[in-house]
Amino acid sequence: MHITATTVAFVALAIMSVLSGLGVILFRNAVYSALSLILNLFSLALFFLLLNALFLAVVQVLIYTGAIMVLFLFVVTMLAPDAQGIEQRDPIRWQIGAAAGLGVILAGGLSYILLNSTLDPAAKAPASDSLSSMVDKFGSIQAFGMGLFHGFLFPFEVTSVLLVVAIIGALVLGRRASRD
Amino acid sequence: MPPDSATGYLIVSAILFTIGVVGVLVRRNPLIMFMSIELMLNAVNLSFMTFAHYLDSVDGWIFVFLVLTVAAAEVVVGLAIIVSIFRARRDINIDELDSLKG
Amino acid sequence: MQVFDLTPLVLLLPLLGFLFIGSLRLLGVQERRHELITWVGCGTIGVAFLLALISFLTLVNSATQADDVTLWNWVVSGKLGIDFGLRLDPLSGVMLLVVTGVGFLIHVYSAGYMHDDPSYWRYYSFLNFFIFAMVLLVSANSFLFLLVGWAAVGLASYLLIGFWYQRPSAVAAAKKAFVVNVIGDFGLMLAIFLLYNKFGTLAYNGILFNSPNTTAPMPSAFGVNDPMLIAITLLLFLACAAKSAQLPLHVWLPDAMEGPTPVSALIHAATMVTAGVYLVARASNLFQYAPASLWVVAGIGAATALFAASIGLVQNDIKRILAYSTISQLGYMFMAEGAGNYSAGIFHLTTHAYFKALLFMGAGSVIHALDGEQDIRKMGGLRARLPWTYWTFIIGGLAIAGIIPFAGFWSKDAILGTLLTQGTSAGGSPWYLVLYGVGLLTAILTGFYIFRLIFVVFHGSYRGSQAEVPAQAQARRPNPLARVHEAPWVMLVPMVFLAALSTVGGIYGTPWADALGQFLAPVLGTNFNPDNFTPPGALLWVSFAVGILAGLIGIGVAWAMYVRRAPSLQPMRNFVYQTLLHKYWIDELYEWVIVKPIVGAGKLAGRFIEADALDGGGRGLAWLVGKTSVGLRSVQSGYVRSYALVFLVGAILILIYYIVRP
Repeated sequence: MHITATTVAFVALAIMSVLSGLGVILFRNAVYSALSLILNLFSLALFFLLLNALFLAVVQVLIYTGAIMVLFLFVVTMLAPDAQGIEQRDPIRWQIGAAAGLGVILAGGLSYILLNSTLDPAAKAPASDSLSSMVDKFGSIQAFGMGLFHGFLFPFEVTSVLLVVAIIGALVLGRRASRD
Repeated sequence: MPPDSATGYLIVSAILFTIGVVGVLVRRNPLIMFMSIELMLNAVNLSFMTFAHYLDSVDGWIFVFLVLTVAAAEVVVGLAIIVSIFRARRDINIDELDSLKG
Repeated sequence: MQVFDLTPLVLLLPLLGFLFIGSLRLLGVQERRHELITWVGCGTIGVAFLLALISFLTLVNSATQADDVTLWNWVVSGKLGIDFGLRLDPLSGVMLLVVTGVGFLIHVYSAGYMHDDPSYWRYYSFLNFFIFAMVLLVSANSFLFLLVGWAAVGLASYLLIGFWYQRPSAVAAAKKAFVVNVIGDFGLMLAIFLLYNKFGTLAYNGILFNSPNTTAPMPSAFGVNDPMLIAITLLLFLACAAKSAQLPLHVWLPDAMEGPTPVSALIHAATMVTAGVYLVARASNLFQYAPASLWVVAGIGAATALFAASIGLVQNDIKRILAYSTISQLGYMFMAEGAGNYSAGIFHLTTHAYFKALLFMGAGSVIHALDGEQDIRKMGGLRARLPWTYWTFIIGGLAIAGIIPFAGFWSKDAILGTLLTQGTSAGGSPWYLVLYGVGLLTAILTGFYIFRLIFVVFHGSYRGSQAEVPAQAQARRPNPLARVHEAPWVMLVPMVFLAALSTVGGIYGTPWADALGQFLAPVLGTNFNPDNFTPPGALLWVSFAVGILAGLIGIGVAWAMYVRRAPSLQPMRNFVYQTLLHKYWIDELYEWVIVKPIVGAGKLAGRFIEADALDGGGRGLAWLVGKTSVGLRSVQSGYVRSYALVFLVGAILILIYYIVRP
């Protein structure tokens, strides 16, 4: 097997993302969980770099880790950073065992499928339309933009409506209910 | 299987997804459950990116973008809900919300 | 318009009377209601009788001797077609006259007897209903509507026996009558099924006769003694045995005396119980090819005649004596029909209607005079106070004992003569002589019990208690019979009429001028000739003499026991007497062998099947559903994480599907 820098980077990133993922679900302290999640998202951004998507790697860092996780941290620190009284005795005793078992089955099943199948070369986009050629010609931002506005204009517009709705919803929910 | 072929990325994605699922099922703090859901969404994002790269199509990138956006909106609303629940009762334990029991 | 078309009117009038009188209550007609009811009730039957008479006379003078009118198509369904229609032929014509004629006389009599009864209207409406049902029975042109009439007279009998329904004994008697009758109905229904199966129709003119307006019989569809024919005829006879109170289904008739006396006269002496005799005569075209069944008919008739007469010897209730007498005389009629002489059976039916109705009316007069007393041990010496009743009763008694020249003599002798002929002729069988002997013995007993009744009630001195006389009258120590008075003329006139009929009514059936027999002959089977049953030559005179002698012996013994000496009416201790007094213990036997097990089974079923299985099954099902829902409800735990777990399980199942998909 040919060990290249890519390989090393991939393995390192894989380990980091898995460990931080485990950290998210295992830490008692919610702040530590949030920080683990940030690490995980960051390693995913690096994954995106490895996959030759500069624009989206940056977007991931900016929006996900930069905005969404900050929002999370705000709420976590406001509400229950220590979470001392919460994780007492689990009322559903067999939940942990069942979850762990089913998780193993899920991961195992998916891996089994993945290991026993190959990517269909006919599904590749035709050469004129291919991403790599676009990126080579225009760079990733422009490639992304052309794809978005040429093929996915309508979803783009709908998504903006969705964001407006979310903002309004957050405003409504965030109001103090003690008015009347 | 070369380590950076599609299969590798996809297996990592599968593992991260599974971790997220287990997190949703096991943790009782709603904030951590939410974070696990974000983890799941990101695992799917990784899959999409992998396919975009190995199938040479920009559609994968678009999907990632859209997932990102929707996740943002979802986080906003979800956290607002959690905050308003916390205002009503001083303790956040998902198991306390069982009025649909029976 | 053919005069025959009057028959539907004869059927309709009593029905209208029933409905009208029954609805008077609703109309609220208060004053003069009594008279209105009487006029309507008697009037409908009176007019019906006139119409029946006109139809009869027209029939006598007509060529075809039969008229079968279809009134409407009742059921038209594929291959099944049932029409409602009436048939007027010699047999039904004679029956109609008897039913409406005697019925009319009894309706008039009831105006006096039931005058003070508070339910007067109900009585007359039921009585009219009965006449309607009986007319339907005898004039229907198919076995199906015969069955309808059959069941309807059973219903009328039930209603009238239980007329005084506040009395538990009356209610019990009505129930008993109905239940035993249903056994007969069952037999009739099975016979109808078999007839339909064989002939494809139930109308007389497909089974018995060739075409509607003739009396020509159908050629027999059966061979002699064909098993199916025997089944049909025996089932028909089962119905007759139930309706005409023959062994072993006679038990309801004595109890039926709980009803008012005119009811007993009409239904349980003159008309309803004779429906069985009518049915055998009507189906003579079938019976004549089943000699085995005819033996059964004759045998049971004979046994019943002797059996009932023996019980009648020792009874003390005036109406019960007459009831057992009725059963015995019906046995005579069946003996005649069983021997093949259907017209003699019908002849005795008519004369029996006259004198038995007369006897019951006389008994009613006595009961009425004594304010309801029915025990003959408490009567006596009534001859002086009730002269009309006494002399008409004597005439009825002589008729039933078979003394010349009364009507009963001619008809009874026709029967005995038939048996003698069949026993001694070349084509007959010596067994008929056994039946002849039974008939003679019964004639002796008949003479005895009827004159015992007469002597005990009318002769001697009054044995009634002083309680029947009002207190102030007792103080004056008068004749205890002072209040006893003769019946009113409404009651006496019918009695006199019937006495006249009982005297001269035999004239249409004498062996030398058998008008009735010749008239009925065409419809009573193939090649039926009543003259074949008359004893030839000297044997005829022998039969006459022996018959009269038997009656006189009975009367003589009664005279010796009850007039020459002071009657001793104490029950004797010996076994024979006790058995007769208790009616051979048959009621007790039925009670223990039949009634108790059935009632017990019903109770068991009520407990185990109804309460435990069915009820419990229903409750158990409800319990099961409840438990299941409790179990299923536990899935809704309210925990979000459990629901999420279920999602995951579902997703994994889909995953596994994709793994194992071929």
